[in-house]
Amino acid sequence: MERYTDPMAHPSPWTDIGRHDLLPAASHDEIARFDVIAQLNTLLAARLAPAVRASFEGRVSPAWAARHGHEPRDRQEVAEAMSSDPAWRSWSLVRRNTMEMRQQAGRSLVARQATALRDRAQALNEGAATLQLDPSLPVPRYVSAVDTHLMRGGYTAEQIEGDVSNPANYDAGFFATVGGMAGPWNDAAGRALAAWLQREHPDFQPQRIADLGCGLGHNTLPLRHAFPQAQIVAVDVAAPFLRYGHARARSLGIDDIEFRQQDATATSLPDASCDLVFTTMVLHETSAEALPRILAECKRLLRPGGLAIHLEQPPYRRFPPFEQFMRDWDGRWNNEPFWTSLHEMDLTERMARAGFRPGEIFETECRAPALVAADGRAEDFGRSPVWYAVGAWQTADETAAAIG
Amino acid sequence: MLDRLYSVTLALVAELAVTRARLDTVERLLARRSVVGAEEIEAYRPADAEEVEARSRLHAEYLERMFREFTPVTRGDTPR
Repeated sequence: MERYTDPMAHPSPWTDIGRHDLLPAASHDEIARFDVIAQLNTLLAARLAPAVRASFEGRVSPAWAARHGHEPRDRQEVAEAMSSDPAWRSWSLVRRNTMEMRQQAGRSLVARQATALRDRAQALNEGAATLQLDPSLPVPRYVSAVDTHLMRGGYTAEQIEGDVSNPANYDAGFFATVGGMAGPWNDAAGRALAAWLQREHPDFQPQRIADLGCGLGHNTLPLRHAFPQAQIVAVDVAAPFLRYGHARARSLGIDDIEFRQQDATATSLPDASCDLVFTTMVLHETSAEALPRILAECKRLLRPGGLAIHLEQPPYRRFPPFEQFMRDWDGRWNNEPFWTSLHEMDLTERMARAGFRPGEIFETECRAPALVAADGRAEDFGRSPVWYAVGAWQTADETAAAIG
Repeated sequence: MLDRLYSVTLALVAELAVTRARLDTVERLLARRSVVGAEEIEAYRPADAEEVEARSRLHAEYLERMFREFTPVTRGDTPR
């Protein structure tokens, strides 16, 4: 989401977050801490980022041109030119600190109630066949080696038996990070995908849906609402997120989504068993080794007429060098080591390499529809969160060839 | 060093904002229950010399702490 290019938005107060049984309780000051972070992120977008652009255009780029005979030609030259620019350094330091503070605020919030959250999750998950954990599943190195976006311990960390505190932190803190722009349920990507499917392909009625890298399932649930008949399987390697996601869904009245602890490169789902396989903001958190295997797994899972689709940020090639440079910040400063590679990639070409027919591969844009507040209050969740999507349809003969 | 200065400053910025939010909550709840309204707070004047001195001391000590790096250290000063 274009956090730093959106000067108009007022962040939603944290008290607007959607309530469910797993949401950690928050005191006045804990809420205020989240709200300050949302405000700081708005400041970054509305005031500091434009100052960085002004500095680049007014001072840094001309100075570079005077020295080199041309303006910075690519992202790398912009980075070199900007490395000592005070406006950029301030923007970067404040942004890094809002991320650190967001993590600290979330950690301290959940740490004091970790046992209570675990117990609530256990009570909701008790005896459910729809939660399938596999402690023997190896954790991919791209998950185990990194505290992704500064989340201490990463997705799989457990401080206590049956821990759900990292996903609780993720759920509560994500709302603050994006100032509520993903909606009260943090599910704008899932809503955007569902809305795109219903608008562009109204006759497409998937019977089985797989969400790969589902995390806490926040973007899985909108597909349940859009396709009530579909059987939905949500897959992730992180047990804490699956426990939390399964319990969260149940507390929201959804008890028929299967949450399975599996690797997106090798699920247990049979060949040609799904009509829709999707990821939301997952591919950039994988690796050069895993990505082609995930794309191939999607191909393997699809029935004829099925769709594989992945929501991400747009590839860098769509932007001028300065904007690429700003967008690349997360790769280096927000612990997203695969971010840069993913955004330099042509995912349509990668889909073709995974076996999809080039004529069936497409790029599009998925936009979350605006929300209407339940209490009728004018609600400003709609900062129009919009994603780049790359997708491909499975043709009948391809499936036959793949299976045969 | 500069990175750490930023971190500490931003943490202070955030905590001050949290404190202001709490103060705002208290003021609004007091007003809602008609205990003390915003006008009364705006119109506050020290009631006597003791209140004047207390407020003055509050500010002086606060500024002393804030500007400790700008004030000369002389023998007999309390440790900073």
